[in-house]
Amino acid sequence: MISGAPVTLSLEASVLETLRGFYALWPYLILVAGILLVLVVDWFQSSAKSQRVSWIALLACLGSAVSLTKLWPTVLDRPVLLGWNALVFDPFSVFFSLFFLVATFIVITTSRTSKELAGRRMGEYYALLLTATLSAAFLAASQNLVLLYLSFETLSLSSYVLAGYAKDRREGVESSLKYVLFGAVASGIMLYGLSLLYGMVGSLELRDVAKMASQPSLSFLLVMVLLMAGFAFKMSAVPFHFWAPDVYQGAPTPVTAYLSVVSKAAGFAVFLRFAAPMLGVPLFSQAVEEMPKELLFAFLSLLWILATLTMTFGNLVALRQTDIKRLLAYSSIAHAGYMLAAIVAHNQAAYEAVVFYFVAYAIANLGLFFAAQVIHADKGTFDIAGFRGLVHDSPVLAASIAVLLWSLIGLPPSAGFMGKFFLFVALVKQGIASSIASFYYVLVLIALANSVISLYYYIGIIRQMAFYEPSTMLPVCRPTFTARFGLATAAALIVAIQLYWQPLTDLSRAATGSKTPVRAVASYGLVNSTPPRNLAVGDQQ
Amino acid sequence: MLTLYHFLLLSAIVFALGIAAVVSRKNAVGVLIGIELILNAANINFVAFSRFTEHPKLIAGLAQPAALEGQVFAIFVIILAACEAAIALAIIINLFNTFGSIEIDEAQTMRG
Repeated sequence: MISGAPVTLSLEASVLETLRGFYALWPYLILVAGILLVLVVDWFQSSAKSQRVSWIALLACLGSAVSLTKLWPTVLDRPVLLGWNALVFDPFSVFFSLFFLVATFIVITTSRTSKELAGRRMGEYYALLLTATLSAAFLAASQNLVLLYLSFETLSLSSYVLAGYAKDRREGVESSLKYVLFGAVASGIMLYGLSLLYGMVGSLELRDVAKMASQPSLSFLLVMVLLMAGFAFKMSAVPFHFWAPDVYQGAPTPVTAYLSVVSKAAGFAVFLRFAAPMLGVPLFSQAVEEMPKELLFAFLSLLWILATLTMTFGNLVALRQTDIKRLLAYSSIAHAGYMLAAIVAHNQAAYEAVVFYFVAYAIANLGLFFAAQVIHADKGTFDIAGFRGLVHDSPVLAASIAVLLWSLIGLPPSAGFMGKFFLFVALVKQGIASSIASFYYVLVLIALANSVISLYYYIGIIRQMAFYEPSTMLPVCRPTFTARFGLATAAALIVAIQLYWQPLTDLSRAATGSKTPVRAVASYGLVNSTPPRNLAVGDQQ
Repeated sequence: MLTLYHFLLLSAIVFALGIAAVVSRKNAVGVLIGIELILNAANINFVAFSRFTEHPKLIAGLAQPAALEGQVFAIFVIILAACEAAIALAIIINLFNTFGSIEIDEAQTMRG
């Protein structure tokens, strides 16, 4: 693996390394080309036909995703470092890039049919969406504090504009205002933390930061608290969650889906990478330094409190929501809390569980926001009353929504159940191994209690759909075949993951650095099984 | 003689003023100014740390302490602050066009 020792490579080897780096950059270059092409082609379209450029955006996503899957075996073999070690392409970052691209692809397809965005010029919209995805991917791959902050801000800036894209709607304007002011303050606080961190460490590289963590100091903890402001803002965790309900409600629904999945996942990805060396989880290419016991415990306690507050607050406030987007906003705050709880376990299993959970969460959330958009298109309301008697309007739609909600509760048979199961297993595992077992067990109990609370409001929607007569005041919902097909696919995926979760657990294990499945895959001949050429820095001689 | 701690004190004061402005101002532009103060407090830190490289806490075993890193970071922050101001001002103009005011409390249609 990589160590700090400087090593000279032969000329041939260094040329090969550089070429390998460019190979790893391909998916992102395709995305950049897509962004530019969308903007340029949009100039030559009339306003009415502006929606056409979505095809270019879709193609860019697809091309980028395909070349990422080509990159996957290479990085499983050995991570690629680029730009003086500022960017690292390891399975973790490639997995998250792929995750962002798939989610963006879905968001683009739903944007095409969105009534809230109809009649606007869409060139900037898709360009901003792809820019946000690109910076989210770089955020997951950054190994350098400058790049971390740069991609963090690029992601935020694109999201601010996207949230207010429907600029003549009062809610849209309000949501983007709240988002930009809140986001700028949170990232400013994080930047102040980064500047202090630079002073303490004397370097901007994440692995030097990890070395710093091994020296006990209270100021390091203070810096972590400042940094948590930025991370918690992106994850929409308490106490930096205030923007989420208003922005989710006011933004166009596809953008809301994007924020709740991609933006949040980017926040978690960067936090997982940043905290890995301090928590003692060997993520790729990062040296693990033992954090002193007291400092680690203080940091874990901070996370513990944040997780508990986040899930409890999200679930309790969600109970009295009547707007579906606002309800899902609070529910997504609660889900951030569950994932933070898993990170408290600070072991490999926890990292895998978070990755698994995110996939389950993303399917359900993208599906539900799309369902909200479909119902809004026909009934003209985001109120939960719009769900009343939906089973009479469209049984397929109602059944799919019910499955997705079921998964968010975390009841079997659904992907959400498996996700929660793995989260709790990670915590219990750590509890058994630890001398302060109750620290972890109490957190599991709190999370379980929260799942019970969430049962109430999710089931409320299912009850409205199944057991009430449709409101006579509202028009009937007639979803198109594509809409029904898409939602049914999401629901089928949710159930399929419960029945056959092995591929996804293998993937999450490969993405977070346990080496076992890599060998397993190699033995099937899918990966070039020759031993690595050991070009990595530190392995020579 | 100016030492690192003078700069750190200055930046801490600027940071505190920025936070105070953000918390107390009702005017969107006022909040934006507070945000700029926060960013510039961080900039002072970056530049000061990179000027005074013989920092007592610099840990052994690192590669060369690249003194310019902090300055480069500060330049990036200035660029990003400009972008952020541009976007925030555009949104505030939009706010004025929609609500006829740039007071943050005016924009309160969503609650719960």
